[in-house]
Amino acid sequence: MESWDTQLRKGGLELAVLLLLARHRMYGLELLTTLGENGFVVSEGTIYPLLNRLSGQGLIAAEWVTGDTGHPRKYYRVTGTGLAQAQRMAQQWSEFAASMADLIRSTGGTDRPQKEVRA
Amino acid sequence: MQLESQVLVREFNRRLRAALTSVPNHVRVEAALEVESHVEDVLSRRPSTLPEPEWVAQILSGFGTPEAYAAAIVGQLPPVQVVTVRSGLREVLTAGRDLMGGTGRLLLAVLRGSWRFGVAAVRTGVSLAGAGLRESRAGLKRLADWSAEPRAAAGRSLRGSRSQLRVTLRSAWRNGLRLGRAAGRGLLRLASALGQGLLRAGGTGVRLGRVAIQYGRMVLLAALRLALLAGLAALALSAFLMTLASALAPDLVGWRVYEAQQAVITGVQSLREDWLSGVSPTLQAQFAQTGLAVQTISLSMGLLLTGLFAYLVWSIRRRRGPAVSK
Repeated sequence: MESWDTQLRKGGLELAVLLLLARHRMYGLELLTTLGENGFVVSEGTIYPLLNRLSGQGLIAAEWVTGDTGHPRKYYRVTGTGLAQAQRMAQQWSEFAASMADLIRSTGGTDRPQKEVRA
Repeated sequence: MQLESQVLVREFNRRLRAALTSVPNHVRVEAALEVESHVEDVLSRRPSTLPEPEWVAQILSGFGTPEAYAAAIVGQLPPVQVVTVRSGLREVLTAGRDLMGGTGRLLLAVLRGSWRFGVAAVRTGVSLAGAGLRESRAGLKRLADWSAEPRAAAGRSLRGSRSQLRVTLRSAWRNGLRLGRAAGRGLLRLASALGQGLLRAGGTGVRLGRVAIQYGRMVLLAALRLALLAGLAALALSAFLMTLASALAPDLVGWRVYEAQQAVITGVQSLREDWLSGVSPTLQAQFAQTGLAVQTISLSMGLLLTGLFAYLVWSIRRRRGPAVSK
């Protein structure tokens, strides 16, 4: 069950990152914190390689900015391609979630005990 | 950051860079810089009860081991960077080729104009010389005709009334001959002077044509030098402006240009590895993003343009054709 949870979160992580970066640009820690506030608890070792991959695919762009903090920060933002991809993914996710909700509702979910299947 | 914390971060980044041997140097530098930046960001959230080095160690543990983190990065490095770099370099080369093409067309137009002017001057000189010769010949012919006329008139007078008019006619004959000779000499001198003058004018025309060709050649060479200097100055200026823009407003520098720069500096970075090993990743990345990249591109383009200009000068000189000899 724990593995399924992990896989589910990983599957949605890419969409979550794209959606957050579509709002405004963010740096690594800011993104991690925001993801955590939205229920996606991920580590640095997961998020930075993911950002690298998305950047390589042209879905997001990155730039180094030296602000008031005194040290440079790498800010990420969604590109036009990334925005279109996020819209497609969000549509698919909504359809999938609706289908799953229907299935749970029609089958009664986990409220009823399972019936034995006889051969 | 305390010294002990710095040592932890430095050691993590050293192992990270060592594990990232298969990627371009700027990627290694950037990965290490990202770790350092992240630690700096999280550092301010340290619980007051926790010593800083332990807090930094916890932050670093979020990346996993440096080797595992490097493997995650390497496994997801896309080849698209190479394509982007190629595209960026292609744009630079296309711009350089357009610049060369425009300059070449301008120089050829100058050369063609100078050559035509020189040829026109030579033709005029030759034409004037020919006219001088013809005038001289006509002058001599008129002289011969004019000197013969009085002699014939005197002969006819002598045949008509030789006895009565002998003295008068002899006098007239002598006077006529004298007059004819004087007129002939005068005309001869006039025609000679005219011919010589025209011949001189022709010679002057030839010399003018030669000077025009020489002048055109000088203008061409001066234009070549000027174009070369202007090109190099423009490159230096653009390098300076790009450096300034990168330093003052990194947001304005396009990502593709940045990636092209990164690709160019990759070779140079490996040569500077020993020197840079003692420099902080922040400084390394700043070097990679700004001055060195721009200078490298500028130097490469400068050398390329110099070579092309030299080839252009050489090919133009070789095809100059049979000009008027000095």
